[in-house]
Amino acid sequence: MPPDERNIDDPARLADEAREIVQKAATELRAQRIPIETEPPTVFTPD
Amino acid sequence: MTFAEIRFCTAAELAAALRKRRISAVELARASLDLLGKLGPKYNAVAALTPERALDEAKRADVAIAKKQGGPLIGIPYGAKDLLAARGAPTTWGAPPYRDQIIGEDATVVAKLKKSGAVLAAKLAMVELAGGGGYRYPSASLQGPGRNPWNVEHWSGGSSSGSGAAVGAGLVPFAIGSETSGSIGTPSAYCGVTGLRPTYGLVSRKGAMALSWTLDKLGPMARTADDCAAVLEAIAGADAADRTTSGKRFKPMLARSAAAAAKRARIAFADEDIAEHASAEARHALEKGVDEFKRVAPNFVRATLPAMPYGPMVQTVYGSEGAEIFAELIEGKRFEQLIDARQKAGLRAALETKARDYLHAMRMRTRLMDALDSMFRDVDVILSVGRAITATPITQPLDNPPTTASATPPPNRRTGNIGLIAAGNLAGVPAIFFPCGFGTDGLPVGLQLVGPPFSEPLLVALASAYQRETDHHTKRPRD
Repeated sequence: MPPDERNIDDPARLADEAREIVQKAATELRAQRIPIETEPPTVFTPD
Repeated sequence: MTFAEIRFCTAAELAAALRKRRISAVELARASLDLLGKLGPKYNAVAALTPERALDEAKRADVAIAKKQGGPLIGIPYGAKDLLAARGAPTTWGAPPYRDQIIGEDATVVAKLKKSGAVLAAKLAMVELAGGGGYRYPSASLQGPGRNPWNVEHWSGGSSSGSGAAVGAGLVPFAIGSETSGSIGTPSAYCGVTGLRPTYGLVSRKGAMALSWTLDKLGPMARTADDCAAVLEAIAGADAADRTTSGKRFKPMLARSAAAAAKRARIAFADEDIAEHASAEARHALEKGVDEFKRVAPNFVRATLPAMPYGPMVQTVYGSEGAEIFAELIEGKRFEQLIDARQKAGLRAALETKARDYLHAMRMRTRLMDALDSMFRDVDVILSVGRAITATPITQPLDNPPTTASATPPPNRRTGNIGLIAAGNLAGVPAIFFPCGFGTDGLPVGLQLVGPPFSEPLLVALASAYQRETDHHTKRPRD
């Protein structure tokens, strides 16, 4: 991919980069296999 | 006591002076207000002084002291990060959209400190919205960049910037900070102070700005581990207004038990944390600090965290929770008032995080908690660097090179325990950060200890034992 020529603080560039960061994190997370029975930790405790 | 004698005192030393009537709480409050007023702006550390409240609380403390009442914090001035609500002062969350916000009640932590007799002298500066969108510049705060007491051209760290700077500069003996992922640890390491991140749920967050419901913690920053313990004892415990509180209390170990616990503690350590990750400036002082620590707790074993993408995990959790918390702001007109353009972009983008990715990160937290539970059967605590670098220059972008505490280490290096800040926060386990010397650039460096849930008594005992054997925590910056 060619280097981004825009100023590093250009709002459009920042928006693109921020979306890429979210997407990259999602890709890395999805690459991790988790057993189907693993639940998230919960703070939900009915009174 | 003279002004010079008061400054840089520990809370314990000031408590002794108050009991011996060498100074009154009102005199101490006036001195602290004066220091904060005169020197606070130099470090951009103060969001607001609270003189009326401070003098009122100090007068009450003097009455109690005269009756020989009160505990270790009675009459001791402190500052609270400006994400904590406090009667009589604005609560800005460090962010322009909230610059006029008044919350007419005390956060539970502030109320508990009031009950213990402590004197709120100031609200302390912070990174806007605790930096949940991922900010690029230290200037991302209503007060401007947090300036480091050891070199004002360098950052004091974030997001508890003012808490670190005010304690490091000797303006208050202790402060309250908050940590979602690194916000107590980073300013503690950069400013050369001791910071304690409690176990998730040990301290109520009622009245504190939420950034991430499942990650946020409040904790003390002070000149010593013992002072952190005194503050934690005052603020820990159940709170019906915060359903995540565990109901557990904190009691420090007795001196004899603490010394024995330090000697027999099994310390997990990975040498690559320093050898492969520390900057050239920080490396020698960190290595020396570890050697010193071995004299206090000699039982070292090699143990490392499981390999997991801690950076993406923690970023996905606080990003999506923070974006939901601030969704109305993000989608409203006031959003553009935020200072840091990268933070704005990050918050907007985080709104688009998919539920499956958030839940995947949360399920990985379960795996991490299980793995740490297993690790803590073989070791008592994990020792690592507080931060692998010294404080960065004020003008340096924080993402270039990456300096965030949650960053994923480069793939060509052994990971050791360098992901400990992110991993520890994801697992909700406690940490103590304490200074261990100075880098070649004259800026502080420090170590961190992490233990299993509710192991704060052991963490304090170990850091306190280290501080009895060394004098790094007693060093004072020049004005």
